[in-house]
Amino acid sequence: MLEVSHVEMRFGQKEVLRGVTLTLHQGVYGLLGPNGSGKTTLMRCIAGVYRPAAGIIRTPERIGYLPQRFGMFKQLTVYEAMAYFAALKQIPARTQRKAIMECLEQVHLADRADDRIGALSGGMVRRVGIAQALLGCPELILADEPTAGLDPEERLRFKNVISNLRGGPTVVLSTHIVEDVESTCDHIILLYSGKVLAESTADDLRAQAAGKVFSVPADKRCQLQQPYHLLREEAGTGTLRVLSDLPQPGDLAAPTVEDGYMLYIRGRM
Amino acid sequence: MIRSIRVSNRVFYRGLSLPMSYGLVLAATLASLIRLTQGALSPVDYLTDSLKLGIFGVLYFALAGYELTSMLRKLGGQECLSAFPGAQCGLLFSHILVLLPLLAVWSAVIFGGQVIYFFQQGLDYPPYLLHCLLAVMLYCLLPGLDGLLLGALLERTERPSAYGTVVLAVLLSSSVCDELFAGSSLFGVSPMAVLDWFHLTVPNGNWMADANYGVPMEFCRWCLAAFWCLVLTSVLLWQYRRDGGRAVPIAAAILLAAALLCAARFALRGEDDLLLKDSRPDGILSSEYQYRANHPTGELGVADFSVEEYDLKITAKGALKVSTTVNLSRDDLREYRFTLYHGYEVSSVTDERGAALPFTRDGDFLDISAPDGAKAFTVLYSGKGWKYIANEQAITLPGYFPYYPIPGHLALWADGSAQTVTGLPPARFRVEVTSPRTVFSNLPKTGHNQFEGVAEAVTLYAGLVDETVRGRASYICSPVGREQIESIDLERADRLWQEWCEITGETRTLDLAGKTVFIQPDTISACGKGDSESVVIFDDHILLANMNSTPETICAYYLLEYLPSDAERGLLRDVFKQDLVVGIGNWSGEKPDYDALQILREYPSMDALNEIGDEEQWFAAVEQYTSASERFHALYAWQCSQLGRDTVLREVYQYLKDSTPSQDQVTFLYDLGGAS
Amino acid sequence: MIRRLQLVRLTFRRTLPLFLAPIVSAYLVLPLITAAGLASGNWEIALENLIYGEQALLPVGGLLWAFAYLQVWIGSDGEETMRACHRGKYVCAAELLMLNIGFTVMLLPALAAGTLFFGSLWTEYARLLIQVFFYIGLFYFTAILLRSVTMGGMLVLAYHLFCIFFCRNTEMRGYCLIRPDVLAGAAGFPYILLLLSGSVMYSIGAWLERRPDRG
Repeated sequence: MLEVSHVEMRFGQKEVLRGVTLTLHQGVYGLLGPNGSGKTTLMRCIAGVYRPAAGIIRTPERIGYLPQRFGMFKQLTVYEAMAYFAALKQIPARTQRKAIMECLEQVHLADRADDRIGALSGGMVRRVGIAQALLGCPELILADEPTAGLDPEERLRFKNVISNLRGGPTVVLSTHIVEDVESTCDHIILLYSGKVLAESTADDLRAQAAGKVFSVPADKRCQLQQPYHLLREEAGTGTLRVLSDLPQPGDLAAPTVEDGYMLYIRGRM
Repeated sequence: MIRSIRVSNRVFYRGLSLPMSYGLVLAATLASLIRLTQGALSPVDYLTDSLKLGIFGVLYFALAGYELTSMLRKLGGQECLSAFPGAQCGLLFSHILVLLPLLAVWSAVIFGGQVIYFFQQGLDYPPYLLHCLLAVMLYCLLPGLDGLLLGALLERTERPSAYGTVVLAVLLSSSVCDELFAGSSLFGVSPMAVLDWFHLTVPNGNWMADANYGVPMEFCRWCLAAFWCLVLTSVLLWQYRRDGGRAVPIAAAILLAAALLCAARFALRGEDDLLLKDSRPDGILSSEYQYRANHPTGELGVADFSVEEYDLKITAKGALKVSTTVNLSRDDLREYRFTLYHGYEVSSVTDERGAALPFTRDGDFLDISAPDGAKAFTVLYSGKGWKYIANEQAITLPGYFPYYPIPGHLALWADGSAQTVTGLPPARFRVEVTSPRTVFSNLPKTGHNQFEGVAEAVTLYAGLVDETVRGRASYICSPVGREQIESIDLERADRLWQEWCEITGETRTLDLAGKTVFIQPDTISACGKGDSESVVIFDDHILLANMNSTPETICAYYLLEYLPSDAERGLLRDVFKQDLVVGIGNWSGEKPDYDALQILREYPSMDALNEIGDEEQWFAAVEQYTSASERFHALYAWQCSQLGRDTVLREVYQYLKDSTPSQDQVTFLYDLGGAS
Repeated sequence: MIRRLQLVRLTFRRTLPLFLAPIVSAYLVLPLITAAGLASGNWEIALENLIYGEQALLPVGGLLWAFAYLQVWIGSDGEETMRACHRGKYVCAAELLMLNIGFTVMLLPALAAGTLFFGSLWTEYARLLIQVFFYIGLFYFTAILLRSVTMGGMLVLAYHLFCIFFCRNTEMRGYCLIRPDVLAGAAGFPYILLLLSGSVMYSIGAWLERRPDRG
């Protein structure tokens, strides 16, 4: 279980986290928020990289952490890098090899164990980062922008890895890509400007946006009633996807998690 | 930690730039050491030159330390590691531990060079090897470690700033700043007072090494090296205080406290007698000159008493501390006048009953008032003796230098050079020296660093010094210096003196055989050395301050010692001395023309040419003077070939002895044997 | 050309201390130590101090400028992106030569001022420029070869210090390009050879930099 209680964090005069309180049990949590909302800072506070200015964080003993930017000495082989992390995680020597190879297999890098980090592509290095986060059967896994730099196939693999962890550790994924959260996470925490806006689920977010998402033809743009929030403009057809509490000249569209997310942060932007 | 070290090892050795650079630095060091062996240097010169390579260590290890420790941060891996308590700190110190053996190997190569050179020279003086080891530690290993710690400290800095900082640190820790700023002062403060705090590499590297002293390794220098190691380590630990648990900040605090102690000791180095052979105001090259310019010698006077017995208790640690009891020949005087070098501060004077006596100190003079008379005084004093150094590393206290009170007001400085005090009546001396070194003296030894006997004066030597007995003579000199004692044959010198006395008509006696010979270190010759200091002869020992002394040089100096030293006959004195020492040869050509020597009549010495203000005229005059000097030498040789060498020697000697000559040196030499 | 100069300017804005260090040396440190010598009334000592100072500090200053520029192009975060802008054909040699020229021009007023007190210093100036040219060429070559500006600079700086410390040693003197103990005319070093060597190193460095398997 992860407990975050009234955590505050400041960098100079700037308040980055403002009284964040969370209690996370077993499951997969998505930490969703725009750039600069404090996701990475919160992850770092939980991981112990930062010491919060105020508040208490209680974490399990074994944590796996994948930071936003992961790099490792290029001169080390994949196995050697993993062995280093295994030593840091105090995994007994006799079980290290097995644990390392299992993690590498999970990220499909077992056949590259003897290759140097410097010879790997950026995505493969990221997978090494994921593998080290999985090392040692952690009770809490923190992954900050885990799919950054991964191709679609690897992103799918990552989602499978997370899915396989269900029923095991608490997993917190920090991302601004709603699609990742939608397909992977049981729970979604919305963070904005250092504050938790909501703790919800994908279905809840969709439900909340139901009846508020409209598909408006481009030629009826001038008929739109304020206030509304333009979600996106479809390339090609020019159809506008609009979020609004008021009826709009268009058809209701099936809401997505992203729509529910925008429902919370519109007006704050 | 073991895993971290393995990681560091692999990262270092699998890279290209760091190991290759190390290889190049090691190769350059080795090549330099080999090249230096071809220079026929004395061992101590070889050591000093080798230690200059210490700057390579500071430079390489600072930059290698920076590159290695900052590598992970640049790759973006630091954050992942920061989630593990102690991981960053552990990895940082692993990087340092990986570089340490390389530093040790490189230092060992430099030390190895000294060992090989030592055996190559056929030396048999093991204390020198220990000296070399300590010197390599102080000037190569520790500065390299400081560089390494600095590089690690700059781990979070951007590369340009780190590089600039290292370049600045290297320049500050080298002798570059000494050369640039030693002679300057800003608002009365010498910049060296500040720059000394950063100078970690061998000092005075551009000066000839002092064989007796070796490489300067006074206690305060060790404190400085320790200070930087401790303070840098402390700051490094403090940087990672949150990473390593409670032990880390506690260790940082302890190290900082130790660093401050070392700093305090170094700050107090002003009290120490340090061998500072640079042009800073308190260095040996200028301090005495400045003092003498500001403090002219007072009224001289011979004492109306003598000292029958001296009891000297000397401590040579840091600086000289002396308690001397003098037993006097007369107890009925109200005032007793002594000469004691001005660098020694007298703290108290008591009589034989222990009563404090008033005294005054005026430059080199010490006047003690004894209203009721006194049979003996005990004088407590301490301080520094300029180039006559006495500290835990070496002692160079020649008997002609008043490091203990000498009766009378005597001149210690004249014509810009030190004067010797000789010709004193013998006294009984009891000397006890507290020093970590073995002390040598002209007096018979009665115990460890204890001496007793009757003599004119007491000379004390210690340091890289040993005693060599050859025939009846005992030589006290440095086995690792430049001096070749084989050429100093005292019995031959006695015979040569007899010959010269027969030729010149000199009546003074010179009895050298059986005396102890003290070969003075180069520091004595480095500054303020007058002619009188070149050869000083006492009843039981002699002191030689010339390189490559021979019986000829010894006798020549003794012969010329009491001759008038006027500039007007300087050239003839030089030619005469040259003839005595090496011979002037014969001149088979025509007698040089008198007119061609006119410039020598107008300007008897090279210094006199400085009267010429115009630069062009000066250059022309110098050229003319040089040519005329050569003709003057030729004239002397011609006279020798005409009149015979012995005749010329006799006549010239008598002329030089005359304090009021009727002719200038050119006319005298030209007209020798009759004008023609 | 203008763009290249802009690039140099932008780089130096970020590494201002390295840019200013040789200027401070030439226009503050050297005048101070020279003035100290002149104030003591000894013209020869003042000239000796000046020669020592300019030989000890100014070649390193040229190296710092080259380092400040080259560190952006070798081993930095933005190297890949910047080289991609030039399709991987970018070579730093031209900018380094520009820096050489800039350094030369920067020192001219200092030289002119020195000439007022000591007479003609043109041979000293020429010696210094050739030394800086050689140093930058050597640095360029070693940095490209080792793929590290730090280690490349370290090697050049180590050589510089070697010269400072061993220039008075009879055995080592012949290897010392930097001679702070003598005037240019008396140094007896084949400076033309240095000019050629520097040019060769620039060329090799440029060739190595353009090789497709670099990096």
